[in-house]
Amino acid sequence: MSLPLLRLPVRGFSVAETCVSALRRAMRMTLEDSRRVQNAGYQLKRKPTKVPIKIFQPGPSLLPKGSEPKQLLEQKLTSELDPTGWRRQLFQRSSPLALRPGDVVRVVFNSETNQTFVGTIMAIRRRGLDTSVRLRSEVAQLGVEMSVKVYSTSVKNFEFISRAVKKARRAKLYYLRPDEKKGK
Amino acid sequence: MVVSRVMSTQRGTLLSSARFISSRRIFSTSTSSLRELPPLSEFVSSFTTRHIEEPVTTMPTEVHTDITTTIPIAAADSGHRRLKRSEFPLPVLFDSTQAALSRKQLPKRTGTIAFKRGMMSVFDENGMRIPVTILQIDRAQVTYIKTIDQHGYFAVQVGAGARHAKNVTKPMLGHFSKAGVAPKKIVAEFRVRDESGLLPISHEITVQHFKEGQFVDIWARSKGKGFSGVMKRHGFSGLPASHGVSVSHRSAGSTGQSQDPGRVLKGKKMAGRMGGDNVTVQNSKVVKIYPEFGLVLVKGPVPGPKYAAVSIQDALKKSDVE
Repeated sequence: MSLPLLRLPVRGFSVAETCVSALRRAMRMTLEDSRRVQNAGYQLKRKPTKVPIKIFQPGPSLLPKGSEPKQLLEQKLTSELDPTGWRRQLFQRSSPLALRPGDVVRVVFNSETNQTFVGTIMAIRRRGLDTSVRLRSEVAQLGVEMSVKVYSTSVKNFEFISRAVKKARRAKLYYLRPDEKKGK
Repeated sequence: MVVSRVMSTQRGTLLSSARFISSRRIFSTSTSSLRELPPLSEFVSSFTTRHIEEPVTTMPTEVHTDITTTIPIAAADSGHRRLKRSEFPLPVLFDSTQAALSRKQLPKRTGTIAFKRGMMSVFDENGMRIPVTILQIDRAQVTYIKTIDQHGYFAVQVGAGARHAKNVTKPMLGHFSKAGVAPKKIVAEFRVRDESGLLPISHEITVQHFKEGQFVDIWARSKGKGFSGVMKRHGFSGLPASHGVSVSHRSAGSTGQSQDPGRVLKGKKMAGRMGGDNVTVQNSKVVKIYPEFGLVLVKGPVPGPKYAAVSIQDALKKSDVE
């Protein structure tokens, strides 16, 4: 007996196979089901088999929750570069030993000859590990400015020479530079 | 299937047969079928019936092609002359997939996905300040492997980060479940040269995959700049700020010539969307590794915004590094 609707999109079935056996094989039906189809004259819906998906739990992140890697690394590096904390004492605003703009300071470098530079503090740029200080000096009537990274390993020491005569009224003393239009 | 085609052709001249043999259809694009080629004797016989009376010479039992695949040659029937090496079918074509793969420059090892977590600076032993980008390798695991037999190339698929299962689609949940890993935030593929670069599925890739001082290639989607003008996008100088310039200080100016060509040429640099494209930074140095935090410090900038996923792999142009 021929059935309607049996144009199945199945491959690999020979012409010799009957429509019903093809349907059964395609839909993996039992013999009873296929007999039911034959009698009913329609395609049976295949019951969906739900396979539960096993979900694995993620491991913990190596970073503690709510922490920022930059902060963690800065703390770590600060303790490595400045274990005694003298740099912090010199450049933290609230510290009693803090340097201020206008002070004269000598910086000693880590070279073989212990090279030094003496100058007035023009500006202190506070950026954590990137903190730098700008020193100005007159060397043989030539103005020289130097920016020194405070936490650099090439800086050995800062020696305080003298306090500013009068407290500077601003944080950055760029006015110490000579006027360019002077003399014109 | 292929062999039957050859057999069914008329035994014309050697030239026509050779031309057919050299057509691309014999060497199909999937390498699996190349390895399963039938012995050449099956279609050798179709054009060896020239009755050339020459002494039978011994042929090598195997032919080695450029891609180290051996094609076995079965013993020819008696009465037929064995082919000379010069008359043998052509080796792998220059423009075939197999040949392209053998030419391609690929790293030996897989890469991994990292998340960009900002920039900072470190000081080296000489006191030099090095600007670095902080990259976090967060729970990166191998989720899938691609092989030449099944996919036509070797690659390692890596997933990183973590995502709640409720936010992951069912197909992807099934994919992660099959790999035996938790649902990942992002998944990316890394091509490798050969089987030795493949890693077992669910293997975790940590920061120790990289060494301090080695060079890496980093690629990521760059920051989007939106609809940018021509000065930002292409570095045009714009027009003067004064001297009678009206309203077009940041414009491109002229866009072409006059009646010839009489149109604006294709590819003319104009304003448009800028950024959001894939950018590769090559030969970035790995400055420091922190295994306890899963952080890698890489010299210089890295494309993409903070918290974005980037891909890192051994530098292609520094092949001496392991």
